[in-house]
Amino acid sequence: MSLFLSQREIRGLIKVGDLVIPGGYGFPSFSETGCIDHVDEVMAPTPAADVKDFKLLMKVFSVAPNALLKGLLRLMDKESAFPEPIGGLLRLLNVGVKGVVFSLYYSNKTSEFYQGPLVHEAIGYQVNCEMDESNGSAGQ
Amino acid sequence: MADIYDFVIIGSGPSGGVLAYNLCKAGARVLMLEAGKAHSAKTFPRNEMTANASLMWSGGMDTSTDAGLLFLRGKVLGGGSIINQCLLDRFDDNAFDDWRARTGVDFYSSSTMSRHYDEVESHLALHTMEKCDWNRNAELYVEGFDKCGMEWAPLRRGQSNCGQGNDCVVCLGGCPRDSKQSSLVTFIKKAQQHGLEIETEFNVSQIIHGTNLVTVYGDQYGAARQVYGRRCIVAGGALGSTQMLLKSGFKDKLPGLGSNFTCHPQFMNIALFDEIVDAHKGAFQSVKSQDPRFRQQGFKLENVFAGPIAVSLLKPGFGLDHQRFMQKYRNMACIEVAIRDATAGTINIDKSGRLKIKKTMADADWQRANAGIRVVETLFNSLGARDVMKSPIKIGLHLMGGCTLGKDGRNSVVNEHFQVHDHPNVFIADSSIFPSAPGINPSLSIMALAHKASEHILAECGVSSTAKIKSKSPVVEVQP
Ligand SMILES: Cc1cc2nc3c(=O)[nH]c(=O)nc-3n(C[C@H](O)[C@H](O)[C@H](O)COP(=O)(O)OP(=O)(O)OC[C@H]3O[C@@H](n4cnc5c(N)ncnc54)[C@H](O)[C@@H]3O)c2cc1C
Repeated sequence: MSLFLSQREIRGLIKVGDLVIPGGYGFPSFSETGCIDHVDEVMAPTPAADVKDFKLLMKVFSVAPNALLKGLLRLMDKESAFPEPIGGLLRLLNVGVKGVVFSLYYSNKTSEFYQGPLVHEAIGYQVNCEMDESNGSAGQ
Repeated sequence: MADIYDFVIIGSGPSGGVLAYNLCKAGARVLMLEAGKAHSAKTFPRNEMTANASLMWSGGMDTSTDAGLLFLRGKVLGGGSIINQCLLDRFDDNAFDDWRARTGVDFYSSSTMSRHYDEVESHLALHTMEKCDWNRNAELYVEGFDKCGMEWAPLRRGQSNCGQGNDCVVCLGGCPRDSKQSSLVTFIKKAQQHGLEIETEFNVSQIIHGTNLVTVYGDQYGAARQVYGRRCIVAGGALGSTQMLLKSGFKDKLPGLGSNFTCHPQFMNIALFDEIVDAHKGAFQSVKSQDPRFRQQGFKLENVFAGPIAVSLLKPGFGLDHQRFMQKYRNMACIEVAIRDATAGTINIDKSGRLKIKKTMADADWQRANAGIRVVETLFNSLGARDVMKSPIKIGLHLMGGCTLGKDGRNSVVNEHFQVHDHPNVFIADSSIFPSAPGINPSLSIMALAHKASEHILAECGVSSTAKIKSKSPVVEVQP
């Protein structure tokens, strides 16, 4: 359930998410984790005009063939080979698309029903910062 | 009659915190406005994504118009000091000499500023990182520097008690131990003891300068609000302060508003090692370069690391190639190149008041960056790294300028008394007044300048900063 993205736009995001993170090397795929359930957390602080652009992009992604999306992802990494403003547009796409996909996936958040390996476990990321009782400050 | 404060301070970062404390201590009635939420050690988000989304403007995704730089800035009570790494250094003569030459302002000197540094430092717990603080990433850094004959030095950090077995990367999302010396746990806390009032989630849209009063408009919890101050101090940081003044129409009288925007572009360079490095564990930053040759060439190196989201964005590519890279998270060592920005950009707004930041990396910047990256490659190669990866993403963490301090209202915004030219009731002392990039962590100097500004502001109101605490408002006399 998202208050920001429609069903179709969510489909577009899942499609590109699975191209970026298909699963393997001990990792679940983007869609498997169900991290998409937390997309509103990413959208909430995003300026309204950017959300509008993102929604349109996801709509297009939902119908675009995978080969085209892969081509676009490759171009995004080759931004420096293009003159401005095309290079800038590709960089903006890169930050927008991968920013959302990676934020969701590496947040370690999943759907309530997900039972597979957690992403943080797969990369061995474990952090700790305990509260300092003497300060009265709380930790995790 | 509406409530009128002696001072309304907009913004609660290193600048706003020091100003609030000094003004409250002198007996003034002060209201602090902050667009972000109030958090405490108990409520800081523990998840990297939640922290980005709830503690930063645009969730940490503000970019320059050409998307060449990604700007990170705090939107929370405590401002950037809540999400920063709190490395606190004084500026050196090199930085101040440059500023004096650019502005003709005499107080930009180590000797004049030392009293202000002393004063703010006396309120902070400062810790120079020791060998026992090093994690493996720091050890590798030092090993590389020693092998290559380069000079390094320990970092100095604002921290009181980071405890045993804690991982400081957590406190990039707000310190759960109240150890990191953010303005929230230092100056704001003390200012509250002297009566500071705070309104959070108050997004200021306009500042109207009047002869006797400054009216500040904004919205809070979805409703329009306005507050009044005899004086207003804008402390919204380089982007925030400039945006507020632009939206309020100050550009008509101040053509220099929005110019001179600089940052310290940062390039994180990751090397893969066969051994486990665990660069995210313990104190994830503890050493820096101290090589005069680097300072001369306009860059510095620090040992650094970040959480999985930030690291994932640093590597080009996608699919299995990306996953293979992230699987090696624990084997990554990282050295950051931060350059002393040579090319200033401009801050503007569009019709809807949204920021338009023009900031390109010019040839001189690339020369500095590439010189630094070459050194990092040499260092990592000397340590037998398997692979060295240069980040395609450039991050701007130290945002400066836009409301430069100077003598001439034609090209600067704020005068030597931190007063906006031609607007005697509005003051600014935050990172937006910087005339150029110093190449040194800016927070401590922002605090020292804010301390200096508070003396000027109180003097302008006829109040001595060392006066005994007064209990009656107004401290600021309304002009006849
Ligand atoms: C990840 C990171 C790491 C960093 N590490 C270091 C470091 O180790 N050492 C160092 O010296 N510096 C560091 N910095 C930079 C440092 O944090 C900033 O330079 C510093 O916080 C700027 O202080 P300031 O008072 O000028 O503004 P800020 O700290 O940016 O505070 C401005 C406040 O004003 C508020 N504001 C803005 N606009 C409005 C509005 N319209 N209405 C109401 N409120 C508004 C903002 O929400 C914000 O809270 C780091 C920054 C980041 C992002």
